[in-house]
Amino acid sequence: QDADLQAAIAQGIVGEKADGYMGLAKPASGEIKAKVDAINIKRRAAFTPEAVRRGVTLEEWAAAIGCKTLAGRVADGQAYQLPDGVWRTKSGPIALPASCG
Amino acid sequence: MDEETVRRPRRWRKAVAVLVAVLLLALLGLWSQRKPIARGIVDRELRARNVPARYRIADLGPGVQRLTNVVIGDPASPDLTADELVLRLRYGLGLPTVGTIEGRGVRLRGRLVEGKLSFGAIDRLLPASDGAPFNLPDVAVDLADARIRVESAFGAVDLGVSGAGNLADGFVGRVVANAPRLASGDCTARAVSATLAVRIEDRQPRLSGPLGTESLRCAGITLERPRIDLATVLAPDLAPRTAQATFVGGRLAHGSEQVGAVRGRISYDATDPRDRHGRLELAGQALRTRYGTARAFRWQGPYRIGAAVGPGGVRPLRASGDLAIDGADILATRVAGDHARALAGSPLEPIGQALAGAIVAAGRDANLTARLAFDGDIGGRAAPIAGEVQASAIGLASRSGARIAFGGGAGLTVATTGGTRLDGLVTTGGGGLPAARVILKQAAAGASMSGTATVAPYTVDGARLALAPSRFSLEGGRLRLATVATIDGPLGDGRVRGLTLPLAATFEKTLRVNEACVPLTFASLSIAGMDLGATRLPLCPVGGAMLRVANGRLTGGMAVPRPRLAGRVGSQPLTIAAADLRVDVARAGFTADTVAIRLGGENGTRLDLARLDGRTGPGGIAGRFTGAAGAIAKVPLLLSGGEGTWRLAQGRLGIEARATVADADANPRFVPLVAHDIALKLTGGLIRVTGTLRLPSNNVPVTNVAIIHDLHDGQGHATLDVPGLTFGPAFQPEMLTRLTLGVVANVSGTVAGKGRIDWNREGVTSTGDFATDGIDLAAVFGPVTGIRGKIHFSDLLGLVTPPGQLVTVASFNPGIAVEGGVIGYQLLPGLKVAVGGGKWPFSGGSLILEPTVLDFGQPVERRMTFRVEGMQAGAFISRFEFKNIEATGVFDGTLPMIFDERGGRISGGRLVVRKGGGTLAYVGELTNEDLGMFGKLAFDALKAIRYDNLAIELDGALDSEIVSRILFTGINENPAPGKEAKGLLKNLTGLPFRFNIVIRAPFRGLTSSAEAFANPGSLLGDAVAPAVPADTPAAPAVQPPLSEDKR
Amino acid sequence: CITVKAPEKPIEINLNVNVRQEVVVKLQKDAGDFISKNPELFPQ
Repeated sequence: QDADLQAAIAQGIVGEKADGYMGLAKPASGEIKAKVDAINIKRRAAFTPEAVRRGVTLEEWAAAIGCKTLAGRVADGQAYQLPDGVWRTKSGPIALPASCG
Repeated sequence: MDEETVRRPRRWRKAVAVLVAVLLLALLGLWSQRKPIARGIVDRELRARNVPARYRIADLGPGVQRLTNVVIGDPASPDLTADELVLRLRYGLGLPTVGTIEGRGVRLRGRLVEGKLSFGAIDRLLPASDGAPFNLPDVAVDLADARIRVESAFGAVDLGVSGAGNLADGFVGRVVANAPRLASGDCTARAVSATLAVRIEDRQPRLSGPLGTESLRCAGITLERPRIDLATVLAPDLAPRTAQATFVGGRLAHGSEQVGAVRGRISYDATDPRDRHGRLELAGQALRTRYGTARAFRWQGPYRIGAAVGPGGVRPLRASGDLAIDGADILATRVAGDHARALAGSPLEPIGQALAGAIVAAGRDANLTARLAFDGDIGGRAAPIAGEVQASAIGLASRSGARIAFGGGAGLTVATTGGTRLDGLVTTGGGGLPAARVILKQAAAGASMSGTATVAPYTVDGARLALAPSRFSLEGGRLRLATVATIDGPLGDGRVRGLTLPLAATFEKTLRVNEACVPLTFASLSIAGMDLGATRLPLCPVGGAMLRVANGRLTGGMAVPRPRLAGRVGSQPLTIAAADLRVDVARAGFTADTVAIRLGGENGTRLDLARLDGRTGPGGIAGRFTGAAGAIAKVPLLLSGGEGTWRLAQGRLGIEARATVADADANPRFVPLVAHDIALKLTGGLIRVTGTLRLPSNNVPVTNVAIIHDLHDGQGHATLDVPGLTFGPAFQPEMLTRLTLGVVANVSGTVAGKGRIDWNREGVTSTGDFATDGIDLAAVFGPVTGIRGKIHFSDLLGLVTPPGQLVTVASFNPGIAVEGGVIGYQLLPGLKVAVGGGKWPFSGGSLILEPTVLDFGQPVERRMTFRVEGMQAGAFISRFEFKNIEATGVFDGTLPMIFDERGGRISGGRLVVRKGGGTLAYVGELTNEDLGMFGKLAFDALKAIRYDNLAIELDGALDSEIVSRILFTGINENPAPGKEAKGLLKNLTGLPFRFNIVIRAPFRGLTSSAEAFANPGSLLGDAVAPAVPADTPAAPAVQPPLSEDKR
Repeated sequence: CITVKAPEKPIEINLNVNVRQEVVVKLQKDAGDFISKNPELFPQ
């Protein structure tokens, strides 16, 4: 795990998004941005065969991942983004997007 | 000169004098016999003188009186016995006088006491010594075999006398003397024998003949078997007037020192008793002394003994002469070689060795000469001889050609009491010795001495030492010397010229040189390919003295605070500076701190060392260095943290080191790499470096580097050999360079290739060729697999390639799997990629990628535009899994695509049907039933529409939903079969409909090649996309049917 | 006579009714497993 990235997550700079990828809630250094991009590239590469195997679109699989990450992997004080594109800071359970069911 | 030689002749002469005296006394005895006999009234006389005597007068003729069996003195031990005494009287004017005396079988006994000879009773027959000078009587004698025994404090002497003639004038005879042991003072002679011919003329007896003794021992000196041939003329009072003697001796030894065979000649002239003089000549073979050995020596010179003076009867003695010693081997010079070794390794080494050799050679088979003069007294109570020897013209001439001379001034004077005085001029030269003139001034023995020495420059095969005229002083055992030395000579593998160093040396048991700071300057120094110009360095002693020699050990040290050196290497300017430089003489090594070396001016080669040390050893100088950092000319590689060992020998510098190498660029293109095996060689201004650069974190070898740099003109090149970089889970490109982070990930596969960087004064150029035969990776818009191809960099460091680079991609999936294709591209400065054209079959037509430039330098969207030509509607529609739509018609258009961190999407895609239109049929249900009548109407019409123009607009993300808007006007060709066209519908046939259909459908990535992603070929089991976006696939894969209801 | 006025709004044919919802719901369990199996992709 990358210490800088963990710090950025803890400080609410980097957060999970409903679409299954990570994003920048606040402006961050080029270094952090490159690391988020790298995570997203790796996620996308890992999601593709999962989507293919299940005959769903990459987006659908990613959205399912998004539901799970928002549901259980965002700590209070950390940032998250719903499909409306608005970054929020978690305090208490997150109202999951409709598609999560 | 050696005092012994001076004292010995004097001692022998004394022995001779004693012998002569004894002989004279014997004659005297005879003389005293004559008078009483002559008078004929012997008895009366005898009784009057109370001299017991017995004799028989055998014949008393007028002129002849013959006495036999004569016994005079105590009958028990008579003083005189004689078988027959015959006196012949001579009648003249007055009373008859004794003419001749004949003696047969005469036996006489005498004693010598305090220099006076006494014949016992006979003395009383002799006239009292009336103080008149002793004179030989005018009497003729004839003796045969007369025996005289003289006892003396020195020992007993038996004399055999025979001969005839007038004692005053005319006597001729022979005296044979034998003495078992004669001792006088500290001299003893054993088995002394002499056979002397005697002739008396005019009252002056002449004695000549050989004397010999078994051994003569005086004060520790033994002379074996000396034989003397004496010829002397005695004065009327029997004191020797003149004498000449030659003598030959065996070994003359004194303790361990000795002379093999001694011979000599002495002359003595005492005609004027107050001025006795003569010449002494002495020679010896096989001389061995504690100072050395010699083949032979010679001494010759006059001597003069003055009249006795003073109470002790001490007589002044002056002697002078020339001493010559041939074939001498002087021991002292043997050790010169040891000192020369101390100069090993320094520019003075050749000079030290040559000088030592010259000194040793000079001391072998040398001929010494000296003019000596002795001035003193003999016969004193305290010392038999006391005085001063003065040597004025000392010279040494050796077979080696060496010449040393000492003369002038007061010369060298040595007093028998030990004080010496040295005052004069010493000159040396020849036989390899330096030409020098040393002026010594010493007022008196033991006083302080001062002087100046001028030494001509001394040159030995390439090394030259010049000493300024130096002043020195010797006071109370402390020698102090000051001069300035200028040295040219070899140093390491180069030369120093005009090295000038003031020297202040003091010597008192230990030698100490330069105990204070002095300026060191040199005209030029060339070493290890460097040529340093005129330099001046303040040099300070470390530990008290720059150089200290104590009992053979050389120690000391020098320090140069803030040394600054400037010079050139070939045409390149060079400067070397350091915080300080310390030299340790004992270790023959140096240490320098914070050294800064600059070569080639402004952007030349730069090297900084925290610490550099070295030691001179056999054949070269070697040492260590730490904290090295720097850069070679314009090569964009920064060296740091270097440490290792260096060695300089025969003009070659070798370095083994480890160091860190970093990219000199402002934002570095690769992480600092480490090399453990750097090997550098510098010969003749050419640097060769080799080493393997590794990743510090996991020691993976990245590239082998070989650098050649010409110091003379500052140009060179480096070759980078990447045998193979294999990326995998443990080794990702972002561990090597920042360029790939956020661009590609999960890289797997091997890249290999070679790069070359060339530089000269103008600038740096670099090229490179790299290749891979299979890389999979994940790009920003999806996995790419099977990247293969070669890339040629025209500017490797700038990451720029010429146009027309080709790469083939097995597949990539920006949302829809795209089969392999060949892409032409070019890397442009600033991390931009110009993607060249590409053409792929696409849905029955072809898809053409228009050249475009993607900027990876900035985090911007990357736009690519695909042109569609002759796309068959049916093939296209089926791509969208519109199972329940059929369409015909040929379409052209463009699909502008945008790739960013969210993936790839089509924005503003537009396909337009070609002239001739086509047909469209939709047989699917209607999703929203409340279309209203018109909607149903239109929908039914869709079942078979003929259109003449149709445009499809496409927007949306490849990995999710594509919104495609289809605009066309068409005529319903045939109503739906089996459904009566109710009134309104019937007349709708052929009516033009304008359709604006929006289809929102997932752009599924379902392709038959889906399994390809999980193919075992990719190590990761993950599909990865190429860094460079590829075009769409050549042939659309067949898409599995759209399942109406998602599972 | 009768005029037939074509409807102003284009006929919206949505061939693929947004069925994403059930898809996503159904995928939830698999997604959970995927996340736990690939922790390096989900830093916290």
